[in-house]
Amino acid sequence: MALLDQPLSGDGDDEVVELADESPESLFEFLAARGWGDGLPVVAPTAARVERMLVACDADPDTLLGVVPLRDGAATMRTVAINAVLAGCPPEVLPVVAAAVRALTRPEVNLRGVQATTHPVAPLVIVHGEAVERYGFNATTGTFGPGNRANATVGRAVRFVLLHVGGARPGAGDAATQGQPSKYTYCIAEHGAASPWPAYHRSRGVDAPSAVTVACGENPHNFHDMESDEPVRVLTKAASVMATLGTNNACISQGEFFVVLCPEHAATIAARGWSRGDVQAFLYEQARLPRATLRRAFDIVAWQPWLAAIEDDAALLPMTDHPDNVRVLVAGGPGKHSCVIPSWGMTKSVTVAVEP
Amino acid sequence: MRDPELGHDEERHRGSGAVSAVRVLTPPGTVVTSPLVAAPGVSSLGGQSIGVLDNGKPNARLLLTTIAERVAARTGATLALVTGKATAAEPAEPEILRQLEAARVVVTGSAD
Repeated sequence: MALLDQPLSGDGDDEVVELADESPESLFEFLAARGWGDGLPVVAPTAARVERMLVACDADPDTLLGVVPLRDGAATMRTVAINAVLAGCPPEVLPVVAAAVRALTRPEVNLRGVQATTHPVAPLVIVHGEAVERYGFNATTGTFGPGNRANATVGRAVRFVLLHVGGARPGAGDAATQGQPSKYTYCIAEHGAASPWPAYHRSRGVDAPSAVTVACGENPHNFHDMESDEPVRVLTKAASVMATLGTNNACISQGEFFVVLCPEHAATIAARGWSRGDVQAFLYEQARLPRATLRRAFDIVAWQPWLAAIEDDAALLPMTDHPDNVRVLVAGGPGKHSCVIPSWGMTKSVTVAVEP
Repeated sequence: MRDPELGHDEERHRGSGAVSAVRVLTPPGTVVTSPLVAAPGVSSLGGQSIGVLDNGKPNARLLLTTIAERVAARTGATLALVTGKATAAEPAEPEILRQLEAARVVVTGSAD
């Protein structure tokens, strides 16, 4: 049945609701009465707007992208498009939102845990390859925000899918004690042209023109280095940010770190012949804390057996159990600020191709 | 006459510029799994077996086991099994759930 022919129904779980008008006030009331929305103004998901988005992307509305916990909602292309319109997405970015949903519902993400935890975790969506320019994402100055419609609305659309299709509302499903700003929207783009290394998605074995990575973690933690012309001093600061008791990485050794280097830091590092792998290895070796410090701070740890078996209190233990858990990519504009994104821990990032 | 929102334009006052109703699609979509049916309760714990599922959070085992022991002492039930998940952030392993099938009632907890 075409979306425009949907029968009119009442409130609650029905598919179509009639509002007095499209005013922000009417939309707020519509969402608030059902515990929906993120508190910010939305775009009315009319059948015409949703159909326009689906047609623009030549998408089959009934394609099931994944099942979203906690509610086990069916994330079909139609349902994702409804949430994307609501979030203010331009029609052409639907394939990116769809790829993010496909990635998030992969078992290694542990989305049920991500949705329900008291940790403030939010999924970061990273766009790679041709999709960045084709769909108007910002990979340069201000990639984390604010200001770019594609970045802002794609991240918001993903959050709406988790809220509405997954049913993880703050205090009712989503138990995040404090939450974090990235729960509103969290989407950046890789600056491929400025990266001295292969595109991130290709380094992960995704051989496609465009891809999306989802990584569930904290807000980014900035570090700056304005002075160094060699890698060690720059990356020592990154390691310092990583080596903290205040992240889940400290007690969960499988946790990843995403290190998002600005183009200038990446150029400084690569100018000395360092590869992405060299950066990973350096950070794995340098981001460490004494066993005694970690054991004083945590009674319960989820460490790999080899790590847990170390008994020397003076031993410096890595903040993650493998160099490959340190994920490195380039994004941002001019300036010498980069960032580290710690993980929620019991989750793995996933990279998938964007399907046209 | 000046309408506080529409100003002095009488045409607009008469409703020819009125905003029409709009139909919107709802964002949650359908659910793919059938609702779970809660297990029937027990009318009495006397003679029943109690299991404890530690959810992996700090002090959970102590708290839940203490509760189970006191309930058993008061009701004539038996604390039959104390077990736990590998981590708090993931569901209980199938083997753990199989072990708990031996208990008539399970004491567990959610969150921190």
